[in-house]
Amino acid sequence: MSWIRRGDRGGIRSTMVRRRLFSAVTVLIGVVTVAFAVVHLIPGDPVQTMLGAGGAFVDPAQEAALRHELRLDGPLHEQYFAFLASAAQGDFGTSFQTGEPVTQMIAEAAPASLSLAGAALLLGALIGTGIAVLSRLTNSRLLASALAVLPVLAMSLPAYWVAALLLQFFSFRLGLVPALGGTGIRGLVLPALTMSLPTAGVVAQVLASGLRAAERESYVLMARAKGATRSRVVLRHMLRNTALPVITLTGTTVGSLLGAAVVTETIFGRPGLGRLIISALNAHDYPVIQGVAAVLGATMILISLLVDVLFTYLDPRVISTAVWR
Amino acid sequence: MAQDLTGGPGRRATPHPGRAARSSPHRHRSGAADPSHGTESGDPLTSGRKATASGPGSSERKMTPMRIRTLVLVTAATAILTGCTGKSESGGGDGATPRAGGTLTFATDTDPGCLDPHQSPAAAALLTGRGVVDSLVAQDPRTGDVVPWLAESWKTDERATTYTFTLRGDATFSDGAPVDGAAVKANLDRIVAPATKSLLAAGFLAGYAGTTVTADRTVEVRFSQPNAGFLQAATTAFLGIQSPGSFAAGPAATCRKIVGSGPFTVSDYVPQQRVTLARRTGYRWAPRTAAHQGDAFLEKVVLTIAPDNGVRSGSLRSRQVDAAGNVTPRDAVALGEAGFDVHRREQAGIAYSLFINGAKAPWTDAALRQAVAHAVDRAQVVKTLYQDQYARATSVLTPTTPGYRASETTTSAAEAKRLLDAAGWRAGSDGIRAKDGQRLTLRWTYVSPAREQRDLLAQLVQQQLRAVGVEVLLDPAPAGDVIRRQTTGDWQMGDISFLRADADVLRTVLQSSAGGRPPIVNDPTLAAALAEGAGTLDPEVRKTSYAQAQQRIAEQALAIPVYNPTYLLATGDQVRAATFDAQGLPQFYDTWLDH
Repeated sequence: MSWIRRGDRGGIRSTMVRRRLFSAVTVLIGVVTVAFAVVHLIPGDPVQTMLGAGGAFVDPAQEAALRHELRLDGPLHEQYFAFLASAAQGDFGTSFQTGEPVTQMIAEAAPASLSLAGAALLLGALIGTGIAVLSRLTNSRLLASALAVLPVLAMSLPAYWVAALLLQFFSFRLGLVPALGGTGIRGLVLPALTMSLPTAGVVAQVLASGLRAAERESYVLMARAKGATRSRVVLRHMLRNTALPVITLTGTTVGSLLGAAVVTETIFGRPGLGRLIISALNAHDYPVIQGVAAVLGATMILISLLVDVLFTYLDPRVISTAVWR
Repeated sequence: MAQDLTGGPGRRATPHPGRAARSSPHRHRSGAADPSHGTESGDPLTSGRKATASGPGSSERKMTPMRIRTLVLVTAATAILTGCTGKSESGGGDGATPRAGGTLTFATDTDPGCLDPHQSPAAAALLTGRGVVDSLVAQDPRTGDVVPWLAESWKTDERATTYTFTLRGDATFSDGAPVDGAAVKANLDRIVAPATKSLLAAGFLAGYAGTTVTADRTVEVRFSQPNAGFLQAATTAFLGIQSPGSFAAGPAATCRKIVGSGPFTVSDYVPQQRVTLARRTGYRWAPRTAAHQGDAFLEKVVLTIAPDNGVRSGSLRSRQVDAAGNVTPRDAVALGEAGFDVHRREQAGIAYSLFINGAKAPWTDAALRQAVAHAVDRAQVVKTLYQDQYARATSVLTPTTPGYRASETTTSAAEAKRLLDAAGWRAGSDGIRAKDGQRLTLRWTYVSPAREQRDLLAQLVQQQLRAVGVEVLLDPAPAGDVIRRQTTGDWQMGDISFLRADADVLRTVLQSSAGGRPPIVNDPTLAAALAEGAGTLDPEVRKTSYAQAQQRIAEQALAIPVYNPTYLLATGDQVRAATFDAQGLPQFYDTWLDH
């Protein structure tokens, strides 16, 4: 705190970021290696699967030619090192299915997924905060207990069910939003809402218990003593102090968001990384699976790094502990 | 129920009762059926409704090879008429003239991934590609006949090793290039080139020895071995003729955009979201199987990809789309009741059938396989799982496949038990039969996740077989694993259905031991019959050999056909002439919107 000078704080922060980035590279190599191993563990041979999906007209020459064309005829360790070498340069090869560069396919699918995940995170944080704050402010017991149950419900409802319900009501019955192919904000509302619920549940639960605990804090007593209104105490003082664990948790829900994206993108017919990886898995499209896995891994690493950096701004105490690392 | 949906305006071929195009039992719109601006009349719906149908498999089907005749198609009406509420269609609505213009929004279930049918084996690539690329020849969806298209005539040698096509000469690709002999050669050469990585089309060109352009409009396609299946394969978009100018950019580019001589062009493809086709003006070379000539009616077709079944039918119900493809039988019934038109088309090819590996004891004994065939109650399967929207299979080939011949095994648990008793298999304390200490079991390896509720079907068949004392062990596995096991012969019971409008599909799927794979069905008598059919284009010889083949398969229970996979298309009543091509997929050229 005060015994760390302002300039030092920036230095410590950049050291921390540098260290974390270094370990991120190691983790990333681990991630792509696991991705490589996993795709090769999927039962079935990609060449046979690709040709077998179309029919049984496979002649050995055709199979061998395709195997060579896809560079699957070399020994596994050679394939691995070739993969690692090109991955290091940001090249994940070309898709078995379409022959397009994997990076290009990811670049095309990523914006849709990012906007969906971003909207879902935002919506989840807003809904969760709303529930938690309301449960602190309300005087109605009934509402308070309802608000306590809501987060559990939000977290446990399966995405496909929520999606179907939302579509049935808002799209098929009321016709407010398009069910399919919606672009822009209108098309984003229902899928983002579907995906936001688990985040909303987590945020609401953690924040509500944080707020409950903060009631006994001395700064709350102080604020009250000074005559601040209840809403002012909650919104101005308590919320800011209890937000920290929520931010960490929101960061960790990004992983589950990407999982939910597979379901949500499929039901709402949206393009995105979830759809990309599902179709790649079905077709044994190794390069695409590896590429998407690497990008998702990198995203997770980046997000946890961002959360850590954000922490140093929100809670200066983090810097002080960072000094001793 | 061989549903044929080719009714439409100005169709040249004579309509027949089998053309029960509109099959929604509860259609509200009356008298406003398919457009027919031509001279021929015959509202396919009305005629379909009036048809007195014979039960599937009950009638003697007169056939010539490459041709399915009326009687087969008459059976179409059966399942459709079942459950008809009696709302009669008054009037033919023949006065309706197709109107040009408008955008058809079509919710489909699968993203093609790659639009190029030369590369992709997916039916989704055919759905999007058929309107964009024309083929050398066309196949009549009603008769199975091969008719001229880009080629105005063709001839073959006796052994089906050389095909000479004479092109019509006036067709052009949408990029302006002419459809000439050089273009045809460039296409066929490209399909077999390893760099194209063709997953299916190249297989149709097995034994391809090259193409010679003998004159500007004449090409000679040569094979090193007889390839009688080539002509039918040439009718599909898999062997469609694309503009050679588009090949230069490489296979990845044609996955995104194909350029052909068809009535539509690809105007936009957003992977996993939609494919937009735009009408091309100046189209003058539709095959005579089409209902009209000239430009397509629809200005645009937007194929929205919606993998979720409920979303497709919900979008249609809420009028967010004009048509929903591949709806489930349950949704089809509900949509029909809600006043939507439901069109059915049995897919040509191998019916969904069960296969028992005859190379593995004790199932080498034909009597045991026959017992299983008798024990599988197909009528119950289609009723319980598919609400009778799919018909029970009456042969290993579906009735829409040229060369089909009914060869049904009767369902009889008593007969199954008799056969098993006779073979010395006695029921143990748990009801499962055994002989010499060996239990009578079948390990059924099937693809999971399964489509068309085939996982539930497996459970139902498991119960049916248990009732006669045969134990079925269900073994769901990922597609790759199932294919691997088939490739190595390491399987005991499996299931297959296969889309292709040619009886030769029996040889290529069940027999061909290419790739070192043991054949799915190993039977010399069958192999001989199929080889005979594959080595000739003589319709009489083919007819006889494929009839023999189907007979043999039924007698020896080499396959146990269960149901005929059927494309269910639901449309709003503004959609007219929603018809199918010979492959059994919706076509868009003749379709129009009546707003």
